[in-house]
Amino acid sequence: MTAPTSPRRVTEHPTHLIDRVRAGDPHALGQLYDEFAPRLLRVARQLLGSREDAEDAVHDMFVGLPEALRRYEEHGTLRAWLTTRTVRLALMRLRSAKRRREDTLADTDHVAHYASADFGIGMADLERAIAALPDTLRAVFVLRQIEGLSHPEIATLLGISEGNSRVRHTRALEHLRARITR
Amino acid sequence: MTTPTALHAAHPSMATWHDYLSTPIALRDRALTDHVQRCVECESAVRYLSELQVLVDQLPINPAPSGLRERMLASRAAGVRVLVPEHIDAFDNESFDEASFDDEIFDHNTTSSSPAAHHAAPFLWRTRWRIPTTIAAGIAAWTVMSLVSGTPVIEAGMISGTLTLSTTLPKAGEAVTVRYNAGALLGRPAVLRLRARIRTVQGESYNVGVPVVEIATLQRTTGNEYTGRFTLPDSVVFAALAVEDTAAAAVDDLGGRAWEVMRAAPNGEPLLSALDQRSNDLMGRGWEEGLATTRRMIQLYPDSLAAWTWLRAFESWMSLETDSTRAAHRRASAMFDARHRALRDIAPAVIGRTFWYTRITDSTASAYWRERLLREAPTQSFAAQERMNQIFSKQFSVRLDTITALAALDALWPDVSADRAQQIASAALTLLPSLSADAADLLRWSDRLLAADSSPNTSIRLAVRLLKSPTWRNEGKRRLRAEIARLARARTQLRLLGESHAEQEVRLAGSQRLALAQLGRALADDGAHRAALDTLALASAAGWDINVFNTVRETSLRVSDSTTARIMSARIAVDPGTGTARRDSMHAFGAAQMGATAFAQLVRNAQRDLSTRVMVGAKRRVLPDITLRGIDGTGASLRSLLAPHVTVVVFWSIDCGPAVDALAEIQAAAKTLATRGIRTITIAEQAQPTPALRDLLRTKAFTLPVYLDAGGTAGKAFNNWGTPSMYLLDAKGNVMFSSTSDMASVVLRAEAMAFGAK
Repeated sequence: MTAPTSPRRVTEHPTHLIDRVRAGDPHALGQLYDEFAPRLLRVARQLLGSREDAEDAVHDMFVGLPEALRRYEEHGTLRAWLTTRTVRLALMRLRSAKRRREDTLADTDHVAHYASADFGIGMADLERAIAALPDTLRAVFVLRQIEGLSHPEIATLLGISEGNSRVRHTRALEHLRARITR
Repeated sequence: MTTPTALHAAHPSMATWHDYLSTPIALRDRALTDHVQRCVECESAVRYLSELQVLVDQLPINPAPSGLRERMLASRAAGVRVLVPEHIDAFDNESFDEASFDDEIFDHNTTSSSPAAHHAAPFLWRTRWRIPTTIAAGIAAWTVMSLVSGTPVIEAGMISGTLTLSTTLPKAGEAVTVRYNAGALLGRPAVLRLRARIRTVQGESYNVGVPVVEIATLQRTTGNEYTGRFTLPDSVVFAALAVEDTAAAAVDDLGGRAWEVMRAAPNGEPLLSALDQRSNDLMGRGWEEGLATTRRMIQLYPDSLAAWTWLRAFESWMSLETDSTRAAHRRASAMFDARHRALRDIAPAVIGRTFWYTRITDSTASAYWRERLLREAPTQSFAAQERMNQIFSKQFSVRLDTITALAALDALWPDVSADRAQQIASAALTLLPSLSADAADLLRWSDRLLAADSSPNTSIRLAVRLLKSPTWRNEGKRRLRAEIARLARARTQLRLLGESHAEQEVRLAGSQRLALAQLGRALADDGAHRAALDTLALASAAGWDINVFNTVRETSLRVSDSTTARIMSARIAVDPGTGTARRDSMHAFGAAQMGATAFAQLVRNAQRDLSTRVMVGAKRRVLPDITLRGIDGTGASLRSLLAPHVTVVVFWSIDCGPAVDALAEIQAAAKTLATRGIRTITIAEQAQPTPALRDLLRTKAFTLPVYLDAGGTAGKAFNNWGTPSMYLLDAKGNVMFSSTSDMASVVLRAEAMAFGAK
């Protein structure tokens, strides 16, 4: 088996690139986008269940990044820092505005249809099953199972207790099990 | 992680098995390993988790679309800014009982794995929301209510935190304990600052020059909870509060409302002076709240002349006067008149207030009190005002003798109290002709006004006035330079309560540019062309101010800098506030200077400049979709009413005089905006389409769409208070520019947004 993923190590960005983004340099911002946007889009899409909403969330994140980076203290990896901000924007969108389109996971032409011998489902089916989770459960599932955040990290990010995070994770797994193994 | 010894009797949860599988084999919990080897159910769960993880690991990461990259960079270039939250409220609309799950052991025999069973088990569920005992403003209460009722939480509620005070009505010397639950705006730094706009009994109307001070440091305790404590000085009777980070990069002032504290009397009710100062603080920023405060004053202090004076003023400003309100004031006036005539020892302030109140209700009584005021209390504030009126109406208007009038005002000056100084010094300056004024008079009255009002606008205006006097020309330039320097270092003392450092810098930079433009013009007039051009370049380097552009253009022409003059002409031509004739003359000038085609390119550049420079001030805020009700009773979602690019939303009320007065201007501006594809919709702050509303719309020939804010939902979503207030929404319904009542700035911003969108 493959153990659950831990955050993938990425090359730390030199301080001067971050400084250039902070100063509003669009080329530096574009560089950061090129490197991090694909992964951020994936997490946003898994949280929001819609490609367009995910793109809006990532758009907002990068548009606000030069100002937001003034609070970045370079203690952790930049990717983790960007992920948490993207997740917050996605959660705010999820809660306050609700998703505009709920159906785009059906339009998964970009998703390879892997076959799973054990579950007998494709990747698109898994994505649909994840998208069908209640918002609160899906958030924890995506952060823990896909992004590899620890429960204390999730608890901090979502403003819930660590125990609550574990309970939600368990329930998300049970939801998924009921859906993909039936 | 649960201790292994607790596991032998029950099945570990899925989350526990996930942790187990995430741990290297050598470090795995032996008790769990034993358990899975002899438990069929858990062995199945572990197999499921392993297979699931294989699938999850294969979830693809697709390339980011280049179109999104371009959109993002275009948004930045257009000046769009997004507040990336440092924290969000608990993502917890399906709350769990944490205590029930702390050990996260699931006994499969008693707890079904079915989600439905979880939802059906009421003992597992308990709301986590702790309703604060004291919430100092309606928005926070509404947020809590909406959580309870399941309404989506609005963005404003998430951005603003919740400030809970041990009391909002502290008695003298009483300490106030603060608990602040930080919203997304402020994140979770270790320390926050509580600032207050503080008012003593001498505080004046409006908030210009009212001191803002830090009154407490809030320390983070757990999560996003902060605590602190303050005691107001005894002299302070009212304070408006806001929380900010230590760098003042973000300020939570409850969407402009601010939290409030009023000094209480020994019986626990707010002091009359506290309510009085609250009314002063609300002047110009919250008509309805101001009116509510004056009604509270009447309720608590029915014998207070100040309360009745306030009530009459608000009723007048808000067009609420009726036969019954006039009759009530006549009765009150008669009561105060009789009571105060009977006093053997009467304070000057009481004479003044009685005169002021009776002047509307009873001319005989007013004449009596006016005579007593001028005779017994000639230095009282109302007496000084009355004496000034006397000079203007009797002396100056008949003889037009400025020398005598100024001499009379000079004689009055020693009797002028601080609260009248600005009014009387301003009046004196109107008597001085701009070019031939006596130099000593001009400097003396300028200094008097500056001592009463040192705001940047007044300071610049007075310096320009001195520039026009040959005697004080150098003094005027010196003062402009001094003001530019003062604005550059004025960060601490001039920062408003709800203003971040960045917002303050934008505001001060605007004043600086105005001063630079005036100084540049003066330098050009004096032949210092190089210095003039350098100064004007600074004035027009940022921001969008048509007055600055006009000044720079005029001066550039004078010093034969035609390049700058063309650029300024193009900017003036694209400014939506420029009239048709002026616009045509700019185009004619440009075409003559460089040819129509080349000038057209300059105009296109100016349009881009307008968009970029104005959009610097945009702050995007997501709105929940809301349902509005038309006058005909039909419902419509706000999103369905949006224009393709830009929509202006106007809040108004038939109970608000300034809002009703503004309807004609709003309608005229909306007509112009419509030609650019910008839609204007209005929201009247009432639940039902009353006959009064229909009558008003008919009388005003108001044809813009009018929707009703049933239940105040729209007002809460926009975080609106006070009318008239206008908001600019983008195509998706996000607020890009928040409340303003300045129609010119709405038109300018709408133009900038429309250009950026295209």
